[in-house]
Amino acid sequence: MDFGLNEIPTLFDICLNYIQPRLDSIKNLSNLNDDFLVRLLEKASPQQIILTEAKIGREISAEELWKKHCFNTSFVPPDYEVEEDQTWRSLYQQLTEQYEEKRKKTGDNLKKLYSSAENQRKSKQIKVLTEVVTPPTYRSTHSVPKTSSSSHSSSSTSSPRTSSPRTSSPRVSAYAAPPRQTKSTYSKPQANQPKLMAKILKQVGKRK
Amino acid sequence: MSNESENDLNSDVLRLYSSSGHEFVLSRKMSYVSGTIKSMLNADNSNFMEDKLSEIKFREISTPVLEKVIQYFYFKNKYTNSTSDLPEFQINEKIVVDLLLSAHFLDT
Repeated sequence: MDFGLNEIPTLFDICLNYIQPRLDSIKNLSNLNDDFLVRLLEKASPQQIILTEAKIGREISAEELWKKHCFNTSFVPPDYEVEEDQTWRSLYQQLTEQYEEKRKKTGDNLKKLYSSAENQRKSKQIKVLTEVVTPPTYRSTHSVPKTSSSSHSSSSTSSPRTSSPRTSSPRVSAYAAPPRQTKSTYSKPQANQPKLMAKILKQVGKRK
Repeated sequence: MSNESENDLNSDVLRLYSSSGHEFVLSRKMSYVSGTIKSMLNADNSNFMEDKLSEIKFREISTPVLEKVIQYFYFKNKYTNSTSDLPEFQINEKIVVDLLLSAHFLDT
């Protein structure tokens, strides 16, 4: 029974626990044989195993560790066994390469999807233009009379641009101000126009 | 009477020598923390010279490492069956690999 008494770790375990988090900085690891190294690398990542091997200048016989890392990848079924000419280390390397390839492909596909979605979004975007572009040939080609009746007759001309300037850019014209050309031909009724009309009507009545 | 106590004291004392010849004197009881030393000294009808001479020479263990090992013997004796907080056993990074090998050899 445990009555709160201290459980003293062995000196061997104290040393193991001291070295494990300091694998990168501890020197003389090459003095240890593979059994010790495997125990030291029990909690180490595959990258740390490779780094330690590079540090001590030889390959560590650590198939059990590589087996554990292979099953940690979740690409290997739990009952999988390596073939005769294969090692767990080589299998892990293969799995890593395959994973990197898949990751790259998935990344590329995602990039493509994002870029196409972005293009689609841009094509649907509404552009608000502050300046209205006037058709350049409107005045120069045709001499349009300024009266309202003449503007009506001009609609029957052959040029589609002059007949309906809005059709050239529907998106723009939806939010744009009326074209300057039509504005210039249209004149506001003068204030004295009703009076003028009344005068004319009187004169006509007198003639009759 | 004084001779008997002197003999008891001598029988309780163990001398450990490092590879460079440094001598460390400690009680036998302390050294029993090491399974290897205990089996050498405590076996029935022991034929080990080390048991008769009460001294062990470690040709592979350097002075700083052997010193640390003996420190651990005292550390373990002090804190086993103790309810006080267990302090961290300090280790020097320079000797830790050799200490690991020695600890394995001494079964400590």
